[in-house]
Amino acid sequence: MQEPIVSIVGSEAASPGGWKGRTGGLRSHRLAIGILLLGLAVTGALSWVTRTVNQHNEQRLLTTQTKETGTVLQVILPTLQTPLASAAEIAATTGGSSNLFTRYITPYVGPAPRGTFVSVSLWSVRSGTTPQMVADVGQIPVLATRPDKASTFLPQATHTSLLSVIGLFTGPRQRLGYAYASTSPGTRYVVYGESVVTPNRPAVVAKGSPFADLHFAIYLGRVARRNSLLSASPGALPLTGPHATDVVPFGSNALTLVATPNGPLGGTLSAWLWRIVAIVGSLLAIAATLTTERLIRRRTAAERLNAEVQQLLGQQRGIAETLQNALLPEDIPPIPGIEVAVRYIPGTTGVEIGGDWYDVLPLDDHRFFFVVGDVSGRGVRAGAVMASMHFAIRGFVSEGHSPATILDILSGMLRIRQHGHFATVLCGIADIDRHELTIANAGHLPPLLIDHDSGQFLSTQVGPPIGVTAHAPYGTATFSVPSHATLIAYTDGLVERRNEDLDSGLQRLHESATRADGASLEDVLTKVVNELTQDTADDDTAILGLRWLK
Amino acid sequence: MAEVERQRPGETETGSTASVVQTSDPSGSPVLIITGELDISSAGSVRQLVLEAVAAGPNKVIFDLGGLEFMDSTGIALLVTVAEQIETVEIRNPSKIVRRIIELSGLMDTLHLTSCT
Repeated sequence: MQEPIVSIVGSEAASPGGWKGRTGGLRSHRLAIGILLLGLAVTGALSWVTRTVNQHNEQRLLTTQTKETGTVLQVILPTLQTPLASAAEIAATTGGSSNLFTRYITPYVGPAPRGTFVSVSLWSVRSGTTPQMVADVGQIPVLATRPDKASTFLPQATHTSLLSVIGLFTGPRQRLGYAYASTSPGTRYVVYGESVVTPNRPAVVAKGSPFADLHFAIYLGRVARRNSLLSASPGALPLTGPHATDVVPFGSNALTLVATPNGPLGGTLSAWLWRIVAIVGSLLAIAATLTTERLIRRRTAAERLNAEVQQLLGQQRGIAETLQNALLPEDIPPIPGIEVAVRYIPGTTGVEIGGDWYDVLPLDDHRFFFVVGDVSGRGVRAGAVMASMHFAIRGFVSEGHSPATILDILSGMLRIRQHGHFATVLCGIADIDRHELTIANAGHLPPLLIDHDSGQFLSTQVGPPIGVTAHAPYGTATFSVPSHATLIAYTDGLVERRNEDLDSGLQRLHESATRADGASLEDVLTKVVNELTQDTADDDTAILGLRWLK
Repeated sequence: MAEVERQRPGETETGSTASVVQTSDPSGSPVLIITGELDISSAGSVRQLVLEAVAAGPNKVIFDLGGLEFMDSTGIALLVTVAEQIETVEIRNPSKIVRRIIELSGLMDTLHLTSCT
């Protein structure tokens, strides 16, 4: 059983399974591509989810930080309001003393960043009249050059307890104005301060401040309008991409804060996570694809090799059968008055030659010699023993020996100890005219004689199989044959079954053959073979059928 | 019977297995207890064990086949091979199946069939 496997390795190139290999290749490509696409799709989805989650997170952080920044902006308000309110109260209690006002407010005035204001002035506002500037510190207020604005803005300041805020963004000097009115009745004193607005000069943001992670722009009012821009961090404008807006109250006015992240607020890792997922996922998908491809290729190769093994085993079995058939007589010579039919069924397991054979040899015009034999074991040696038995018998028959003598001579030819095989042989001479059978038996199963519906196994004188003892005395038994009777001689493969005694097999043969006796001899044998042989039988079976035609 | 000296399963390709247990009877003759199925697929290894057991050339070998479920012509060949070398081969407790095979093979004179309970 080792040999075929060895020869297969050498014959791979001549494989007829080449097309199978290509089909397997195509299949492997399809599956691999499928896995790749699936892997990439999963990776893409995961990456997208990661990115979306990160974006949501960023937006949330941006909103939070923007609000925090807005809160910080609100803190500025008291630093503006407190000096103005105090100065207004001083003015009210001193009847608008410009000296006291000037003395009090001067520390707050000066160029940024030392002074809170570049200019602070004291105005008296009486309803129905134009506001009058009583005193001023620092630069001349821009509001003083804009009487229209002053006459509307300053009286408004007297109607609120909040810090009034106005943007003066036209003209060369851009200012943010704050006004706070005294609370005393009668003449109202309004203290008005101005600070410089430099929207074009980037605001310097200290590291670690709440503004550090953000680009921001601060507008006066509730809407982010370009012409009301108060301050912006470097590179903040134009604000593109994700941004958050927060409107915070600023005195009587409001500030609008627009912020955009300076970088990933949630950290670099979470910003890069979706890219990492995409890259690692893609690499894994590619690795899985390559592994799949390789596994499928291996399996395809294994399948191809298996197919080749099966094919070569089939070939070997074919060779064994061809050899076996060559050893069996190709054509049984037609014998007048007798119908002859034969069957040879090789065992299903293994690929070796079996040792079963049959032969029919005409002797004269009314007699012929027949033999059915079975060499034990299988393989080339069993086949060789079978061939030597087969042809020796032919020789002995031509020399005119009787069946018993032939068995005697054969038993001197084969030694089980030497050859490892023995043989059971049933042989005899049939006399057609005299309806007589003379049979000698060396350990072979009894032949079945069927006369119409009844049959009987012929009780021959059974000697030991050929090869067991050097000189066994073989005897013959003679039987008379009824008209149109049928003789079936066979080897043990036909009746032997596992876990069953031989008599059951013999009984089965008896029933099958007698039931079929009305049919032609060929049909009888076909029926017997169909009914008795098993697909899984591992022994060979040879059958010889003889029917008297008269 | 003496103690079991060895037990090895016969290796098979088709699933049938046979095993051989060797003991000896009071007279010192080897007793080979073969169980399972003795056919073409298991006979190879059983044959080796049996031939080793009879290599010393005792006058008598006893095969106890009480536990043998199936035997084909390969098994017969093994028994006959031993019968060739050893003066007396006794087949003890053959089942009906085994007895009938031996009978139909014309080996009743070569192999001595006995039964003991």
